[in-house]
Amino acid sequence: MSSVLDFELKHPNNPGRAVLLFHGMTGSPFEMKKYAKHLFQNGYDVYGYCLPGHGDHPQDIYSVSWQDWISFSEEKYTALRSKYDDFFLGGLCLGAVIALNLAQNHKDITGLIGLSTTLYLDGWTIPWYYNSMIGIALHTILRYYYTFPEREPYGIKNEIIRRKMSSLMKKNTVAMDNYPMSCIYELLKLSEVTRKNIDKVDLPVLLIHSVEDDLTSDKSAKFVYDNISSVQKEMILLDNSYHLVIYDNEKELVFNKSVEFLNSLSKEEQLQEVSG
Amino acid sequence: MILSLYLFLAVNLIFIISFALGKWVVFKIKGYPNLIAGYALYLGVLFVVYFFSILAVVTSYTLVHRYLAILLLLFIFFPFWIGEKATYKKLDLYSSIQLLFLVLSFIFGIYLLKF
Repeated sequence: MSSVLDFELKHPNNPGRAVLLFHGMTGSPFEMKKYAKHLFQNGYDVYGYCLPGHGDHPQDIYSVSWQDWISFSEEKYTALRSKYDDFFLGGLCLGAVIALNLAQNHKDITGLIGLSTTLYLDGWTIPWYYNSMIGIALHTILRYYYTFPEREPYGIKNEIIRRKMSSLMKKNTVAMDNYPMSCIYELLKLSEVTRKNIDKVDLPVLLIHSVEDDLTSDKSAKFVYDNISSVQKEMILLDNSYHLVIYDNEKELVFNKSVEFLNSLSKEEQLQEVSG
Repeated sequence: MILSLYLFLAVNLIFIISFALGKWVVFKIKGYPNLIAGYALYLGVLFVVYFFSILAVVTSYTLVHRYLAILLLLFIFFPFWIGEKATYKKLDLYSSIQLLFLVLSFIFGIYLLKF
């Protein structure tokens, strides 16, 4: 099922390399667009699709499962992989976890970028009662009633950008303004499955995470970094951003490091270096 | 012993009323996510108080009748069993089942008054 929020940034001549991006929990491909355009301008085809339960019909998020997200991402991967020599995955928040899960099952992915990877919900804006109530909230019927309202700082440290994001939230056009507990339940289930098999990830990985992430601490990124089997891996910890690293104060650094990482692995880039 | 049972019955009754109010009134209100979140949190707290009140009853019963009171412990597990089985599409059904179990625990609590 396609959504009006999906995007496919394709060069007229197939550049031989592409990135499949996954957006975050309760978000949409719109939140990845600026980042995607930067990758596109640097010679990559870029794809972003609305995850099941997100986008056009907000109520769908209550009935979606983590298996729906995985089978959807598998479908997109299968449709795109054979078209490119170099194929990368990237994701923000939940999207990074989906990308890691996909990488566990497919050995022909060239590289992976994990932005604000969310394996644990332990950021500094998580309510104080979360740890004591989480068992009740997740494992009883209350999970279908409880939602975490989106609240300041909306994952953004830069106040000007935050105000813009806040007004977009109020319009509720491109992201939900609350996190349903049932969605969090599915994220945590997916996280559990992904953590169990994290050592199956052996492709080159770039992780970018903020030390001040308000939703998920850098424990998530460090867990991935310490437990994947990849020979080539890099973790960049940002100290002037919150969760939405592709919008915040260090977004230029995030964009540039991403392109640098992709280029270092791209056969196309390597061919140009040799011939140049 | 009797005090813990009365406490359990009081908590159970408040829980039944609150859960029913949530199911049929509060959770149907549109446009107030903070209200709904707050009410769900309130029910979560009630769950915890309910569980502890059950434990208080079970531990306060004399050995002779403890086997009866222990049956009350099942009502701690039912909400989690319902939670595992519940789906969003059948939320109405499962929330009704949850309410039914709250009523059943209340009835059982009344029965325990005999002892």
